[in-house]
Amino acid sequence: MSGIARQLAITTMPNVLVADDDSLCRRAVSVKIRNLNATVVEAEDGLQAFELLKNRKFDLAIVDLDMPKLNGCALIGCVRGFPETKKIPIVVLTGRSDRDAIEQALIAGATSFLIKPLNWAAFGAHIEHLLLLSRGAAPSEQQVVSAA
Amino acid sequence: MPSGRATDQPAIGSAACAVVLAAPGLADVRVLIAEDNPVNSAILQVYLDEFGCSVEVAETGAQAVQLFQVGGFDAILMDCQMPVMDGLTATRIIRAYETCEQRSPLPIIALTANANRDERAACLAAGMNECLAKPYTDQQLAAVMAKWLPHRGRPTTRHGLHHPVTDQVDAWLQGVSALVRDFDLDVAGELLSIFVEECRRCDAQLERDCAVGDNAGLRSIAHRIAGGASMIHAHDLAAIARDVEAKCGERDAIGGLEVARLRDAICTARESFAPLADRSSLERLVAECGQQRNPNRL
Repeated sequence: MSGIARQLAITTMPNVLVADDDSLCRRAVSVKIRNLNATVVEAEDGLQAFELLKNRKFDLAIVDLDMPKLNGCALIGCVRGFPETKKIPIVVLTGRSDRDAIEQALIAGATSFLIKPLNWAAFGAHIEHLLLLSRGAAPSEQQVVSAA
Repeated sequence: MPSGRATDQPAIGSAACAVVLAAPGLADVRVLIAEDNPVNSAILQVYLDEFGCSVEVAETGAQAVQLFQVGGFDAILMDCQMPVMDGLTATRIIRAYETCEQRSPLPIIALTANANRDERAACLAAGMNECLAKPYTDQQLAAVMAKWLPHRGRPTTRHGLHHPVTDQVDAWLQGVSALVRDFDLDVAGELLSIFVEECRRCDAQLERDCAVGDNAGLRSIAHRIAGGASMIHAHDLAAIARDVEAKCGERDAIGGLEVARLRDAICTARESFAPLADRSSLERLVAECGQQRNPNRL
C-alpha cells in the first residue's frame, strides 16, 4: 500500500459509493477500493445511489452510465444540484468509449471518465489521488509529509 | 428433446447448441469402444458414425488394453463392467502405460449403468476423465466427447476449458490467468462464478424474451454480457456482445442470426468458465499455463 493510502488510513477511512447494475463489476471495483483501505457502499441502480449519497457521507462516488431507474448522467446532475452533495468527486466507469458519452458525462459534472476494461494499477492510483484531494490536502504537500 | 435437429441451422436451445458446435470437432476422430454388450455397442457405433468418427470395438478390458497398445486412437469410451477385465482396471493399466511411455493421456470416458457418486468417484480415481450414465442421448455423448476432444494436436488437460471453438480457448485461458493476477484466486473464482450465473440468467432471458423481437431486452442483455466479459478479460465475447448492443440501437428489429450468435457465445462461455469458478481449479489452471509457456515443453 502506498504512503498516500496509509496517510488517509490513520485519519478516518474514506467512504466510497460504487454504483453499477452489473454485480460482477461492482464486486471487482469494491475489492480494489477496499484494498486501498477505504470502505465501500454498493448501489445497484442510479436511484439507490442518489438516496445513499444524499443520506450518508461519502468521499467519492464511482458510477456506471447505463443503469436502471436513473442513468449515470442524470444521477450526476441530481448530485450536483444539491448543496450537500454537489462537491463529491464522481468517477464515471463505463464500457462506453464514444465521444458523445464522455462529453455528456463531463458536462453533467463528472470529475473523471474511466473506460472498462480497466488497468487496475492505474485505477487504484487515480482513486487514491481523488480521495486525497477530497480530504482537502494538496497532493504534493501530502507526498512530502509521507516521505518525511 | 428433438434429437434430429438439422446442424446447419443456428441452434437456439443450449443443449442443441453444444451439439452444433461439437459435431464438426468430432469428424474423423478415432474412437476405441470397450463394451461387451452387443446392443449397447451397436447403439454407440450408430451415434459415433453420425458424428463422423471411426470406431474399433473391444469386448473385454484386456482387449481394450491390447488395442490401445497398437495405438492410433483419439479417445476411449469404456464400459465399466466387462468380463475378464473390467473398465476400471483397464483404465489403470492404460494410464500406467501412458505415464511410463510419456505419452499424453487419451480422454477415457466411462460408460456406466450406476452413475452414483461412489461409481463416479471410482471412475475418476482410476484415471477416467468423465462418467456418462446409461442411457444417454447422442447429444449428451457429443457434448462429453467435445469437451475432452476439442481439437486433435492440443494437449489434453484436466481443467475443462476445452471447446471446439478453440481459437477462443487460448485467449480465455490467458484472460483467466490475467484475472487471477488482477485479484487473487478466491476473488477471481468468485468473479467467474458471478459471470457464469449472469450467463445463465441472460441465456434464460434470451430464450424467453427475444423470440418476439424485443430489442430493448436484447440490448440490455448484450450490455450486461459485454461489461462482465470485458471485466474477466473475455474480450472476444465482449466484442460480440458490444456488436449486438450497437445493432440493437440502429435497427427496428434485430435478426434471429444475431440473437443466435450471441446466445451461442454465451453458452460457450458458460460451459467453459463454469468448471474454473473455484479456487482449486484456478490454481491448477495457473500451474498449467505456467507449464505451457515453458519453451522446453514437447
